[in-house]
Amino acid sequence: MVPELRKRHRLIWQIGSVVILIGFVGAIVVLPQPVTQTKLFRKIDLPLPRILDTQESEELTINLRGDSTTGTQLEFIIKKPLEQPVAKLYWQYSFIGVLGSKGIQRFPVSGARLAKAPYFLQIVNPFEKTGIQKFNFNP
Amino acid sequence: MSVNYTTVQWNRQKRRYDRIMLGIMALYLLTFTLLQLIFYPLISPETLIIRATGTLAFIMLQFILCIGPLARLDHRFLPLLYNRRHLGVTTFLIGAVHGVFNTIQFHSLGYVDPLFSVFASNTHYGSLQDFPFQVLGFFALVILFLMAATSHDFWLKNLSPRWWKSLHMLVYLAYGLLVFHVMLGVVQLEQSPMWIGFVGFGLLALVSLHLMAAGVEKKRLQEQMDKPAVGEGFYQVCSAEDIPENRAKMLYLEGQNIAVFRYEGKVSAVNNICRHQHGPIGEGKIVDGCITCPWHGYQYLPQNGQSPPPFTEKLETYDVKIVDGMVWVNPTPYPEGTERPAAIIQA
Repeated sequence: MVPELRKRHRLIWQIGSVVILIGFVGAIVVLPQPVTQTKLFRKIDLPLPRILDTQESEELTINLRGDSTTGTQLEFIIKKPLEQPVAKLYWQYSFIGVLGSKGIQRFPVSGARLAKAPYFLQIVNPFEKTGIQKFNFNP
Repeated sequence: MSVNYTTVQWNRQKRRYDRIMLGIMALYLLTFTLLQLIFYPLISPETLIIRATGTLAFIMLQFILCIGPLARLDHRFLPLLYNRRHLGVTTFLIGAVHGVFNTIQFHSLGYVDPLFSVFASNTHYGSLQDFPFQVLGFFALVILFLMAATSHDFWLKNLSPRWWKSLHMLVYLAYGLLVFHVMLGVVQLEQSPMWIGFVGFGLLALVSLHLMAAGVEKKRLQEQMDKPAVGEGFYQVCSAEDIPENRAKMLYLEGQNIAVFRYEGKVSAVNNICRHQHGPIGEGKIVDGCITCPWHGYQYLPQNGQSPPPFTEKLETYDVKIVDGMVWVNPTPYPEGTERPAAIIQA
């Protein structure tokens, strides 16, 4: 190889290696970060640690659960199926969810609806729009 | 070497070289396929072909680019240079399979022309992260195609070695494009450290080898240029014993690139640049009484720089003398093919 050609090779590699290495590092720097999903709702499946009050009926055991940091929840333990397949739940006259026919269900209740005890829970037949059961909680 | 153009000048070495090359390629493809089927059992045949050919072509190009500096740093790697052209053309073919399958898989099912789709389906040309990396692969493939298409001696002769070499040095650009093709493509999509290591290790090895070889060469050249001339234009270059039998010492004196060969108790000097592809004659050896270029086997007689008949290539020759066991060379060249008496090494 002629010296002129060797010199061209040397120049190409001196400049090229810098350019390629900068590009290589740049491509690593812009690597997309792993996508993490922010939880929008608090996980309500788990029972809160403290039972603040409990109400019983023939079909239901209802616990008002909570602690000082994570908030408050209503826990329905269905002992015997209700006559209706579903029932609407109203806490302090505000709709909080639909109760199914079996198992244990929990519903978060927000701080605005816990301003002043006693609290009023009404279970409503959604078809006839009549109250099925009413409870008062006074933790 | 040839007097007429033929498609491929086959010989035993070339066949052996190609057989080894194809064997290693087949082994790689088989191993890669098995690993893919183990780790990705639901992989489609098209995706498997795309991945296998893409990685193979990149590894082959990387290897090809290592051969030059390796051979300059250690002569034991010179046999790899001999048929590098076949390796290059094969790399293009493997790369072309990768490109064609990619174009079919990702660009042929829409309403626009698949080739147009390569350029227009992703237009984030201003973003590094979302850059249309397939375009980089496309241009690299175009360069490899031009090199493969002009790899025959017909093009070397008709383009002239200077232009031919300049065209083929675009391979460095192709390599750079492919590094970015991988780094902005599969690395961004999969963020796998394996891919980063794969490209990074190769890049580091390649850059180190080329810079090392360039440094060694520059130092050698500098040492020779500093030698003073003593009387009648002769330069004292080395002891005759310093040149191994049938090998050469390479010199750069007064702008002349010279190879001084020792053979059969004699010493002769010829121009160090092969007439074929400007290969370094002095890195070759004397085979059957002829200086043999390490790149592609072109041959010249040491005493007159002429290729043995029927070949017609010729090198410049130089005066050499031996005084007290030391070799002296006059860098004034004689016209190509001029017979000059060899200097006899006294026992």
